[in-house]
Amino acid sequence: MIRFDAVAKRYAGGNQALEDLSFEIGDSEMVFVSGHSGAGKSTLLKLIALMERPTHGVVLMDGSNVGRIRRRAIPAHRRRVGMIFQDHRLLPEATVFDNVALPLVIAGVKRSERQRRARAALDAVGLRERERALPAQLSTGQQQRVGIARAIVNRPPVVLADEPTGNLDPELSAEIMNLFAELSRSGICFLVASHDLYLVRRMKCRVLVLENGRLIDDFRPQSS
Amino acid sequence: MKRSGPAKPNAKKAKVQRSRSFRGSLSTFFEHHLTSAGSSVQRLFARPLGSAMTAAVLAVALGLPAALYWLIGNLQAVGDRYPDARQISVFLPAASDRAAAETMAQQLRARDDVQTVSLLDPEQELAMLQQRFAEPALVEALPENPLPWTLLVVPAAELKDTASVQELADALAELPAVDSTLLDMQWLDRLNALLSLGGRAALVLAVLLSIAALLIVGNTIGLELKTRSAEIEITRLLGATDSFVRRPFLYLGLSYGLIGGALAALVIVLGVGMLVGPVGELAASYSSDLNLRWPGIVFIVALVAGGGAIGWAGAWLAASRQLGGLDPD
Repeated sequence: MIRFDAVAKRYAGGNQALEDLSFEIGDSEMVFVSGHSGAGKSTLLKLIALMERPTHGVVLMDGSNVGRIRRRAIPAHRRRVGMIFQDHRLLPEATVFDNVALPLVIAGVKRSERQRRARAALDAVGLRERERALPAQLSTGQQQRVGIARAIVNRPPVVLADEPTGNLDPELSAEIMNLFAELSRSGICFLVASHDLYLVRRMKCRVLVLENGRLIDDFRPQSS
Repeated sequence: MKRSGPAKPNAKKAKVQRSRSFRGSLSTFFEHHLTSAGSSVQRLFARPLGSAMTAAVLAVALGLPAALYWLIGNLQAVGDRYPDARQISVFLPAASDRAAAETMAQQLRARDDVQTVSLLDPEQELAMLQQRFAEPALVEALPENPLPWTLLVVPAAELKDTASVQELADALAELPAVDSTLLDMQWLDRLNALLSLGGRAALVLAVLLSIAALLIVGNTIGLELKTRSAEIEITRLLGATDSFVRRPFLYLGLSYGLIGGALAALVIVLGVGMLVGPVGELAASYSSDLNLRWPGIVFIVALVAGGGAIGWAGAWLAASRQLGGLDPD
């Protein structure tokens, strides 16, 4: 689904965020990107979401060269990539339902179809009953789950999560990660950036470890 | 040929499906326009004071040139009431009688540079004056009719400009049986010159204030874009196109412009309403039925639509400027 081929990213200020990065991720695989802050985790995700373009190398998604997508085609590309943020980034004035349905509105999905799909996504994260609530009326963990529902509502082949559990306690974090694992089994490729190594190990998923922009390890913890 | 046979129904089906999904996306497209417009209006009413102030500033910027334009239109209407201003009044000496006047008229009609001549009888004129005067006794008190016999001469059609008509008037004044001549055209020329100057001034003012209105809307929408930048960023990350993001702001600018234009039209109509009475009285005191014209429906529609167009354009400028640098290139 995703392939990086000798990818390097140097920011305008001269900061070399990624260097000679190559890996491949299959369909419906769940992969963690780990490393210290500043190791290049966010940059890696940004290259896939086309928030940045690589300086060198090729980023492929579903066979197409992401770095070469023209500006006008960026929105269409982003509709195929779900995104989950540390601070969930929900619209504070919109209800839970409207937040989840937003990607469908953007994609021009019909109203009846929107209701069906948004409710299905809310079902998947267990928040169907709170669809009329505003984000501020929910707990942090629930807000993050709304963010997840929003990321999967459009059935994108790839979902990126940047430190999705950064603001959550260990118990909630585990809950969120289990939700990811469950969703990835339904055919979505999950790429999760996290510095929480303990949590990452417990999930027994493949881990890409970055250090100073280089891939230093690519392993899968063995079940004990 | 045979092979393509069974494929045909499928192709047809695909076509039907495509057109159906096209219609579907068309309806969601309109739906988004509708919700964008609706949320823009909501936003206007969410901060009524700020919105009202912006609309009021726009109303001034749109209303000033519009009012000036309307005023010039009115003054032009005054000029249009005197299409025979090319006419020369030829006054005969006070001692002349009807016979002398008719001889003179014959003489003038024979000239090539004269189109028509009509006679004004002093007795009739006095009677008319008496009728129109507020104080008829005043006219009755006159010892004798002060009005001379007068010939109204319309120059030949070839004499178009003031100078050649003036030449004719001067020539007629030289005739021995003529006391003096008067040409009405000059004041009209001056009026027209003033009006074209005023029209030009209104145009310059309209251009300048339209730019000002554009910048006001642009600035207001720019602030709105800044306060909602988090929301804009998230919708863009979810795959919204520029036009999708821009749309609600365009409707907001349109709303500001339409409200500003309507407000300007309202102020002008109210202003005319306040002026019509006094102007009518003033005109009546000069025994004229001249009065202000009400701004027509075309004028009002043009003012409101112009406001809307400026609002839309201002919002477009602001949105394009701020959305431009957000994607990597």
